[in-house]
Amino acid sequence: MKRVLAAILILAFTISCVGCKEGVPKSNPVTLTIWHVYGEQTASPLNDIISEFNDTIGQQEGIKVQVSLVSNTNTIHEAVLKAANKEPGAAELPDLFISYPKTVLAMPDPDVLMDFRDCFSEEELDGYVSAFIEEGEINGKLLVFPVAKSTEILFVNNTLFDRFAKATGAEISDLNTWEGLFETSLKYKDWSGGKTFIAHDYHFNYFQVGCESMGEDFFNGDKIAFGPKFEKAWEPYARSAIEGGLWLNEGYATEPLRTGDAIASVGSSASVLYYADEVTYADNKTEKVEISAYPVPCFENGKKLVMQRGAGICGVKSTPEREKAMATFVKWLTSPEVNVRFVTSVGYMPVTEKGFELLPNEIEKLESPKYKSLYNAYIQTQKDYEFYSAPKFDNYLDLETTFEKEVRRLLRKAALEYKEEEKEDSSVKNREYLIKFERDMNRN
Amino acid sequence: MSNVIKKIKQIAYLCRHKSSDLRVKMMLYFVAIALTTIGFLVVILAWSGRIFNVRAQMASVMTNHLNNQVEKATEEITQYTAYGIELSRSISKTIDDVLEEYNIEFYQINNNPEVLETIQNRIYQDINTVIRLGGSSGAYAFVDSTINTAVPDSAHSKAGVYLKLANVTGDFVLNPEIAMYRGSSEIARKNGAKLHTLWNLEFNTNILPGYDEIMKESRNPGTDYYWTGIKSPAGASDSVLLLCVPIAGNRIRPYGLCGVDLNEKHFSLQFPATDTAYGSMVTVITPYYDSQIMIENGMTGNTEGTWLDKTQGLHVTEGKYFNAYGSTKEVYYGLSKELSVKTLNGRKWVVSVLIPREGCDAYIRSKQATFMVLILGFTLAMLSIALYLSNRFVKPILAELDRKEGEDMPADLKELFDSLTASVKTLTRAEYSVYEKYLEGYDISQIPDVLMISANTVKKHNKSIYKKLNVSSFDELSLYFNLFRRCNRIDDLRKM
Repeated sequence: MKRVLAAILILAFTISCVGCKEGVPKSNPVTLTIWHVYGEQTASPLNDIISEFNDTIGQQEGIKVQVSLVSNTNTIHEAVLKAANKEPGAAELPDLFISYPKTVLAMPDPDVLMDFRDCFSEEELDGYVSAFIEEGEINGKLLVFPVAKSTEILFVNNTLFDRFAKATGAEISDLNTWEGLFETSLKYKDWSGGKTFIAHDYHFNYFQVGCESMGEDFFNGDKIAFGPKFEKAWEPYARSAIEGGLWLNEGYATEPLRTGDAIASVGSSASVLYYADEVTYADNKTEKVEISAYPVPCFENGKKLVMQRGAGICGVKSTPEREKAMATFVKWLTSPEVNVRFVTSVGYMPVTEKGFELLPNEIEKLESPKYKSLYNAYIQTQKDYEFYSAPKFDNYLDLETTFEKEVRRLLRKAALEYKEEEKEDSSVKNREYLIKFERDMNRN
Repeated sequence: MSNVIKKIKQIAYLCRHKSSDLRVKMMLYFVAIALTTIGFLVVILAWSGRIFNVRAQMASVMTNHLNNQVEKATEEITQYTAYGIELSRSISKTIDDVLEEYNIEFYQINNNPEVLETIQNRIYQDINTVIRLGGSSGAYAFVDSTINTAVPDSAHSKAGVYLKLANVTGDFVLNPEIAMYRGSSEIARKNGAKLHTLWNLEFNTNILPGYDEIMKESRNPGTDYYWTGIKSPAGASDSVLLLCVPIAGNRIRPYGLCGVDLNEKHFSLQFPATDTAYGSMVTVITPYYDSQIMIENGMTGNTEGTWLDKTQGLHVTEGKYFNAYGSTKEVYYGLSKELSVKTLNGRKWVVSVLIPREGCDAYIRSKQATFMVLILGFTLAMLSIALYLSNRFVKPILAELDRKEGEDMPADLKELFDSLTASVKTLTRAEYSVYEKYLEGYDISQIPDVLMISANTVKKHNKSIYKKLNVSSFDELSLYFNLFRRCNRIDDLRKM
């Protein structure tokens, strides 16, 4: 009997070991959701890179990254704040999202975010460009980890510009300075029968970097200084806007270039992904065009200064398993070889020192003339320009948003009045609207 | 076996005649034995799957979820179809009004930018409303005309308006950001819509399945609509499920087409993955043919927690409780049900719920092991109790009984028992028949009636019985009967 009992006990123990060992199957991956900005509405190159991660490291480690939103930083900014404020109906915060420090600064409690210093050793962090790391530090924590950096670039529809240049004697070198560019814009407007020449995605940055390049502080505390150099930057810009050379509608600069309503733009280097290789006109005729990239203009008496751009990645605190998964993905994405492959597919710069060493080789492999042109402009910018980083203070984003909206609105109004009054000299209106703008901004 | 039965009879006797405390213990012993037996029986039934059938339970959960998902999908399809039909009727009227205002026939819309712009301006708000109210990822309408017949392939270029939600998210937005995918850029700017990254002025009907067919003859928007899947147009971020509703008009052929689109993001939000005890359950809505669910041509809900590959189909193998869905890379368990949706060429679409096989198998093994352990444990517990009671109470009693039966009886008493037992064997048949009745409890006076013999015969037999058994009277014989009965040896007095 004792032997029978012993046999039954051994059998029961064996069965329980087999059954209990199963637990949660390793085949079910930890799924991380991500909101990113690389390729809104298009077949995103980052989505392909993420698929590569899922099929390789992800399979090994049991991690799956799932893209739940591809948009732009503004939309992600709004969605993140709604989620962080727990507004009814807001989408749930993803595990990872692409963001600027200004978004983190606007969050009610940035402590919901991971400090990436807990995931990387000092030795690992030393491999990254230190300025990029510093940019993502908020209140002593590394909350925005660099993924890809960009800058502002001048894009020109060479096909249409050449046509214009042939007829008027204009030259690409005229676009080396802001003064020359705005003068050219007025010539183009006259030549084209009223079409705008230039669209700028970031009017706020034009003034900010412009003033700083001429040796004047753009900010006075957390307000705009409106000093003499601001007026210097205002004059050619506002003249072009009022007389019809500068695009003042909402939306990205890629839009008017797509429809032939403008032939040059200043925007993020990353916008190269959105420039089509053809223009479609209002009569449905299409024309293949060549888009080229150049370093941004600077002021005649200003130094060569350009905005340092590029959002980073934030991770939302969670279980140790999920945080480890996030760290694994971020490390992989920013590893030099992967990072340089990724950034050159979306018009960005790598974030590690080793990545910059690998960059020339990767540029060689680029097939698109547009991308080749972009990276040549990048290299020239790196060589000749100084990079400027926007300051970090709480109401930076509000200030920027208000500025962009107000300046366009006011100048659209001024342009309409100018057109109705049919005067040739816009300088009076120019001055009048500078005063109005300064007053409106200070009131806000 | 006869010894066992004997022991059980002894125990039963003790239960009837001994103290209540001993009776309780004996009952517990019997109950423990019974439960142990039942336990082993349950183990066998569970092992064979006749009870605690985990697969049947899983199938039940899948069926419930599938029914919910089918209901939800049907509701969505019905709702959007209704929006599409209403949009068609509204646009049809708008076009008629414009034609009347301009005093032209429909064919004169070609190469007429002013009229086309008027139409686009007026239908813009209807299309925008469909997106805002209905929550689809896009809505469109185009007419069978083009702004410029001189451009290459103008026969497949159609003017209209196609709006898409710029960012499909799960949150509530009163004025969602709209992008103009097809249509006049001027109209987009006028209405505050940005141009879609892949904007173009007009529709290319080459990528629209069924367009040529539906435009051949007169159509009724209420019945001649269809749904079709369109895989990612070159450079676009995802595939869509597109509703196509003809716009009827005052001519033989439809004025154009309109409808809504539902993209992958929309389905991902509407059909989230469900966390179950055996893994993440995902929902896919796909065409079905040739025993395959064509995931690459359909829509998937959120696939969180799985490695579901959206680029290939899964072959369906039907099972007793649920199906297996397999490809070269992965296998899922699940169920499918047909979706009532009007498609091009009547192609069948199904809603399927899928769970990774590995998780299911692990869960089944785990549950079975748990049942087995519990039942075995219970059985062992009952067995242990039975053994304890047996060792503690039953065995000592039986041992005592055995002792009283055998070597421990006083020698003279034993000799008396043996002598009487031997003497019974010397009775004749007739004598034994009378003796047996005494053993059964009959009195002398009852024997003549019972055995149908005379009283004298009974008297004669009694004399012989007393002499052979060495007793002096019937009373002495009765005493021996009682003694043997108390010592449980009454059977020894029977002639076997």
